Amino acid sequence: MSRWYLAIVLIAIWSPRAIADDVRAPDAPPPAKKVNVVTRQPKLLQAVAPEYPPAALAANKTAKVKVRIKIDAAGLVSAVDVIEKVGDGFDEAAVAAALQYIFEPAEIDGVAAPITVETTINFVIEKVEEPEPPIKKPTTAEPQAGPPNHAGNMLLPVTIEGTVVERGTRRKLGGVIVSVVELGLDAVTAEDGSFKFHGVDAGSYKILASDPKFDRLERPITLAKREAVEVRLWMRPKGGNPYETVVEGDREVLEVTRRTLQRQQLTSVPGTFGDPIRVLQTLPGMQRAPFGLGLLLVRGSNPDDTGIYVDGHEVPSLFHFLGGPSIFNVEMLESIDLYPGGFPARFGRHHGGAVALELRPTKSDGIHGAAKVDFIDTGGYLRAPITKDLSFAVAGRRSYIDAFLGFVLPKPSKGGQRIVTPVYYDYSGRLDYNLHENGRFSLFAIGSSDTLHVLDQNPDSAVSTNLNTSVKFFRIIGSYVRPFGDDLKLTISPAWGRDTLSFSGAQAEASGPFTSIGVVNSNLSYRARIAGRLSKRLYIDTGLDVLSRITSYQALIPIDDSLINTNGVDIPPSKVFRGVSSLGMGLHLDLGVDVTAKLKLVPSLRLDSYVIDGQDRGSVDPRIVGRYQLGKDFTLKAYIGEFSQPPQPEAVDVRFGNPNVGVEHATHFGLGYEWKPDRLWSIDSEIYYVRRRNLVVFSPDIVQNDDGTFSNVNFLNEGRRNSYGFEVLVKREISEHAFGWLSYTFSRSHQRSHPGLPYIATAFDQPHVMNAVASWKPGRGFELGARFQLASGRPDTPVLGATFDADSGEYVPVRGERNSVRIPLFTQLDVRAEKMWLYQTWSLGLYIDIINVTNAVNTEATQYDYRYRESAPVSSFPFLPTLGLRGTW
Amino acid sequence: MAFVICVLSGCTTFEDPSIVLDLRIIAMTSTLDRVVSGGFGPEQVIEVDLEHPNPTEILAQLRPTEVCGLVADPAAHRDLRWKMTVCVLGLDNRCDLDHPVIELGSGLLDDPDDSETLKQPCATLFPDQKLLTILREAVAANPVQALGGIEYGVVMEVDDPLIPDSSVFAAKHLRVAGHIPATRRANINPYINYLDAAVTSVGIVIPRARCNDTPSISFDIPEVRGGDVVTLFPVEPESAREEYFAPTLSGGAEKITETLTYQWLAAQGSFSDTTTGGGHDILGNQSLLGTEWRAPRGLKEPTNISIWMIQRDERYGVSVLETCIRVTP
Repeated sequence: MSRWYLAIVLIAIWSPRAIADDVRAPDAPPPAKKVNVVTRQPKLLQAVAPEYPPAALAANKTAKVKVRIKIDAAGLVSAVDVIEKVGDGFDEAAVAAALQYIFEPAEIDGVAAPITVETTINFVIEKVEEPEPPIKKPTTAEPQAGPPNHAGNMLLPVTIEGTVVERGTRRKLGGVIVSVVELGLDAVTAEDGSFKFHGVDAGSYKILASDPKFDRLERPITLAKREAVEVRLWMRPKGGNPYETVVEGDREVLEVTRRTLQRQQLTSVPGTFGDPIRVLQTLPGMQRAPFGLGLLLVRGSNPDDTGIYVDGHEVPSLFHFLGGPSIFNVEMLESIDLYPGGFPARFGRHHGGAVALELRPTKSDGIHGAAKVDFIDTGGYLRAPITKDLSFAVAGRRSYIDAFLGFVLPKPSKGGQRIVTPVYYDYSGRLDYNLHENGRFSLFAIGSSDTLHVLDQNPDSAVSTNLNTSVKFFRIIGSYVRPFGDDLKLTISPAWGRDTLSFSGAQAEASGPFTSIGVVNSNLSYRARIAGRLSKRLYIDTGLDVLSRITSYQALIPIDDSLINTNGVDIPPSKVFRGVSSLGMGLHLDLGVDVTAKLKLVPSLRLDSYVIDGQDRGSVDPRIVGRYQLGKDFTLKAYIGEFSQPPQPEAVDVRFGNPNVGVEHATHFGLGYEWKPDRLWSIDSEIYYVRRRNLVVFSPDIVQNDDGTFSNVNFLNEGRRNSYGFEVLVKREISEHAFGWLSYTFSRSHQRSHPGLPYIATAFDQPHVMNAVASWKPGRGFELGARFQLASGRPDTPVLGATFDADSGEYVPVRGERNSVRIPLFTQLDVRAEKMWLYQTWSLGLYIDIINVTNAVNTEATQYDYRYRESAPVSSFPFLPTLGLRGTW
Repeated sequence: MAFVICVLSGCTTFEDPSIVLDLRIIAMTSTLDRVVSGGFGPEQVIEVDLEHPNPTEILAQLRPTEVCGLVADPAAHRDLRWKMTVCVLGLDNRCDLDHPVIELGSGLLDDPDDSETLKQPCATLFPDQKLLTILREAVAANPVQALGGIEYGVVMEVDDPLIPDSSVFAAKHLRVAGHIPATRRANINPYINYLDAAVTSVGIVIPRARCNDTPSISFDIPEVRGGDVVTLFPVEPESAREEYFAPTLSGGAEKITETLTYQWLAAQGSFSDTTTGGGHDILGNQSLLGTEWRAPRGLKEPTNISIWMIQRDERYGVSVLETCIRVTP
């Protein structure tokens, strides 16, 4: 007779011993002085089965692991220590499991309090005799053991089965322990939320479902003879709000500093309009952008110096224009990573920082959606299966500011006409085809449009206005991901995109434009990447990255750049057609080497070659990152590396630029540490220095050519910029009740535009930037949040007086030393409150987001009267509430 | 975004630049010997060998230039102090102190609004070694190496000697150019025949006179009522807009017709357009030459109000027309 083995782990043996030096047991003799008394022992509410170490199981090894568990006042496990190590992977498995336990907290003097307990987790292998089949004789093809989401006698038919889903979102929940209480049967739900109990006899039972992130669910069922029942267990998130965390353990660390935002953090930070990308601006290393604009100002760099990558492909912008919301629907995003410096070699062609958006694959797990409505725009998201392996998602949004502007704008005079219609919209769609062991194919498309039409006609004025501005963006990204072996993954991804910007201006009565500008960027890019673990000590991330871009300009502008002096000359507009083509090819390699168990080195190399308008340029950027685990929770990190960035297309234009300008370079240095004192809290700190050189700067010089003619120089590689600073991020991860972080950045950035000139503070230099973000869920579906910002004012150039220019009739300011003063300190408190109602299949949230709740007057710039005698601040947002409604299903 | 924030937080408004409330230098003009320039203007064109300039030959061709300022100070009754200096101008239109500075003239000025016979501050720049030094410095500071002309300037400072830090400044550009291109002729100051004016379509005569000038047979101060709208239109002679050749970087020349702009200023009231004429705006609107001045309401007694029209071309040519209108309550 064949036998089969069932590996089980005995964890229910619960006889904790409370350990607390200043705590005595209830029956101990009274001490001389008052001591605290444990009035209630902690009670295990939920255990999680540890994973049996495969090698130990294969070797038929068993173990008993004694652990010491620190439980906080909320009943959550904050730390687990192994008292006597047994090896063979048992210690790690025990700790990992114990960290997920949930207790009813201990009470000391009648108050919930932290406590330390000891217990033993037993790993045993139980031999199970093969039962006689009741109906038919089992065949050898039958499994020897059931998967974790099955429980009971595997040889008997399934009599209770079901799915665990999240209330409000219908998200299927994996990893939930489902028990038939009376029988002591436990199953852990599969990724699709399913569970099955075999051979349960007729009768009445209590089904219990438990998970640390959800309220315990009990449901009675009655099973009749020869009957099978199917149940659906709706689990309510703790606190009444659904939340999820992104598991990061399986992501290889190849960089020194990566700050990742989780999905819940993307939409509920006050003052960000629920905008995921704006949340990035609250992280360390980011300078505050003026007027709430979506500029990414990373460690003293200009906005253009930071690359924005969507699944590895570069995109020009994340935001609708004029400070509008980000183009990307949060439901389409899996995560957003900010790399403020020393980033991996796969992100190329930028020397500032990198922002990487990872798209969220769709699933064939039912129809899901989300919708949001507020004063500014409305949008929606829908995800649905087509077949079992083919699914899609679509999202869209449109603004309706134009509908409200009419009430704000001054009325035109009688017989006149005034139309102002700013409209933005965006759309995105994704198709995923799951090829299972052969990988996954996906197609993602995104587009956005911003238009502004202004028509102003006044019968009393000879001057009229007809302006049309349009900014459009489109990308389509294909991706094929195929796993090789257990750890290696190949990604092939082509993309095509087109960015257009157009402006035209005319009199209202004119048949065609008098002035116009059109810029079209056509991009074709291709990435091939292989990433994964080659051996126990070696991880590789390498690939090819090609970007072809054709930029064309078409303009109708009053310009004659051949004239020596065009000041005040009325030149009729003429058509200008220009174009720049560029091809960039990059090879990247990051090699993660686990030199020892504690030391990891990541040498990297990026090779870039560019052909811009027929001229070759290139760069070789070596980098190295080191991480050393000094203690269990403490890691030191350091890096040094070269980063390069090609010049912008307009800078190399033969007519308006300088075709000889070369690649800009930067060297990044950084040193820091990561400390994770417990499961929820972490501290990440770093000092950095960035030295940028060969920066392309404007030059007003004119040079004499060999043939005796003269030319404008326009641009030169003569700029330098140095930035240094210190950053710290104290973060509390998302839990049942709260999340938040405190970020502080000390940063200085100075630049020199030409040799011989002094270094001055850059336009965005802000020595001190602090952001405190906190979100709290008191329960009953409420979530309250606040964000406090404090930032040094940006540099400004003082105006000391003015001179009347008798030849133009205008006053010319007499300015002091450039960027030698600062606008006042910026402080702003934003708050947000949301109430969420959870229904069985959907949820509804009503929120109010108040920007600048104290109505602090924050100066963003200074405006002057015509002769620079009087000045007034240009203020940032006043008290500005936004009310919105969002729903998911 | 800036517009939205401005609307939400309240936009700031400053004083109207076309209304002269206190001490201001309204205009500066320069005049040359008509023999040299072919007219009065801010520019001299001379024969010069750019490769081997001969200082003696340059000096021999240069002629004296008279620079005058027009000052208004309606809010106070006081004498003023003035000073003019010649130098290479910096970006702020003040003398670049890295280069030599020549004091051109200084003196006291009677109250510009109250004095019956006003003598505006004027000074004459004579061609000498000091001017040659400034021209050399200007060439060194000019990236075009004098192809478009050597530019320098006169800075005028006016203050109340009894009040510290009460100075106001103005700057006037001057230019000396070679015959590049060969067809180049010196610019002359623009001018108009007269200022056409009407109140509710009824024409009125606008004299070229200050309010404190004594009325005579040749002019009388026109009178309007508070709130009346006076239409003002400069009538240009046919030759007012010169044609000239501007040098290009390729060594050629481009023929251009001057554009004339008009700046309107008054001691009280308001203008529909404070600057008229000029080139096209970015949308192709060609603004009218004329403007409308609305007489102030609420005056307690008849008041003479000064109005100035400053006419400019793009080559530093400037001329001024000052007039006066009496407004009755």
